Amino acid sequence: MTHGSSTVDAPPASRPISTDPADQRLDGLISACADGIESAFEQLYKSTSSQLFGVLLRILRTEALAEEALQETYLKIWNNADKYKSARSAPRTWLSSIARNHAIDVLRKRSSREDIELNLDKAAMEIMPERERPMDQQHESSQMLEMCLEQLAEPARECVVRAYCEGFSQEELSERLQRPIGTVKSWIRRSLISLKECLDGHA
Amino acid sequence: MATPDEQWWEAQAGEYALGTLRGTERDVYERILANDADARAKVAWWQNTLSTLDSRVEPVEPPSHLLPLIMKRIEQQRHQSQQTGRFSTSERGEREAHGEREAREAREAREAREERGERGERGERGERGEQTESTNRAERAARAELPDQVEASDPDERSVTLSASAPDTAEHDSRHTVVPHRRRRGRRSNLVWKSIAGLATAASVALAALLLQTTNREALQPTPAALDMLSLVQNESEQALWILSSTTGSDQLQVVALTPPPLEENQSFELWMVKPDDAGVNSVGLLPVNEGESVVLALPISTAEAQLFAVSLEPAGGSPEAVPTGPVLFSGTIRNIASQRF
Repeated sequence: MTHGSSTVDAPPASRPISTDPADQRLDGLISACADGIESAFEQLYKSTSSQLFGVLLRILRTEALAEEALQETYLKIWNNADKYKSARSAPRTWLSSIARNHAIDVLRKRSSREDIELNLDKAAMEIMPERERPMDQQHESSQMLEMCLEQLAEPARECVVRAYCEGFSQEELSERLQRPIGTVKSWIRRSLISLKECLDGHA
Repeated sequence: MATPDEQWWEAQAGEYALGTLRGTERDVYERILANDADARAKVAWWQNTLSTLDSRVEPVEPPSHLLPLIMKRIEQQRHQSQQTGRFSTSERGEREAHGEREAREAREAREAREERGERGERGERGERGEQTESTNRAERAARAELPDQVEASDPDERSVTLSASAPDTAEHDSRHTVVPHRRRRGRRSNLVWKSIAGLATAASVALAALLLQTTNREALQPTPAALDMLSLVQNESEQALWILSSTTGSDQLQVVALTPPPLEENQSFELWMVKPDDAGVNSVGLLPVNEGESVVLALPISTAEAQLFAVSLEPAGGSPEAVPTGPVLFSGTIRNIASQRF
């Protein structure tokens, strides 16, 4: 596999080693899940399921789908706990990625989200509350991302945020924004490159 | 400025994390991810970066009936995997009792030699097999560590103590972490020693699987892990009571109570670090006693200097002395993940 210029050395982990007790707690619980400790899994579920259920509900839009997806997500977490690499991603990121990937799989199996109410209220993103961030480090990286997002032109910015937070596909964004799909794709990809350059520039 | 080629791969990783890479494109990219560490690192960067947007998604408490459903499915999985021929620890023990030990050791030694040369290429397919081998090795190691005289002599003659000094090193094998001393009959319950001997075995076996998984992970992806020490404090039926963990460069110990045993109001569970070679113990602090509760304790010594965690039953507030005054009930083997990785 050759691509880019850095095929030999992988880039270093992007997130510094966390000393946050909440992250350490989840690290320990996930590692214990890898060892088959069911009580650790129950604690992990109790600590994280509301976050993941929130993500799944947001993307899948219906309770029944989200409930089914939550079960599948936690089974995947249990079965893949031994693959958790704490240096690569923070525990909540790892858990949330499993939920997101599963939700996207669920959406792919359905031809459309016609049975899912899509309400692309322009004000929706603005009123979404920003919850407390326990870590200074997280707060800092969050501020950095917000700052770099601010630098994106508006339709592109909305596409990026809604794709992530609400699971919109390019087709759905194209339809809702009444713009060609090629344009939406281009917005998203150029936005991602700009974000990367902006974040690298402030690292 | 990155080349167009680099930008394309960057955007591909970003779109994957964002969720807009769909259909065949996503399938293809997932196959790339399975084989390309560089692509995986890019995706990890994007996932970490975008995860700060998770703060915009309001958490929603899922219905309470879901967890029991998930636990039931895990139980079914476990049942199925047992039926498909995976030996449990006790089954292995029975097979060993029937004289298979020597043959197995010879086979393991051969497999270990092969494994050293093959591990990097075996990937996930080898994991389960390696885990079994590791568990066997741990079983053997744990047995080797148990003092012979425990089984050979009258248990009433024995008791356990965790001493702050090393008064009696000539009497026992220096590898022992918790050492039985000859003391006056009835000074302390022999049950304590019996249970800790059993626990040492159980803990070694249970933790061995995790060590191996960590080793495998590192063989595939040699990046430093945040978690560098893990210990499971277990009871005699191998139920995990507390999880202890610490991270690289930290002198803090993260403690999570999983299924803490019941306790009287005037009692506390105190955690100790036991040094090797009977070199004494250091108090770490009091353990949380409510399920799910977690605390952070300061490590009195580095985990590399200790060999075992032990839990004693003490008066409320902890031992009035520098050593345990109550019975030592549970223990957890220290696994220094970082030091065993390289």
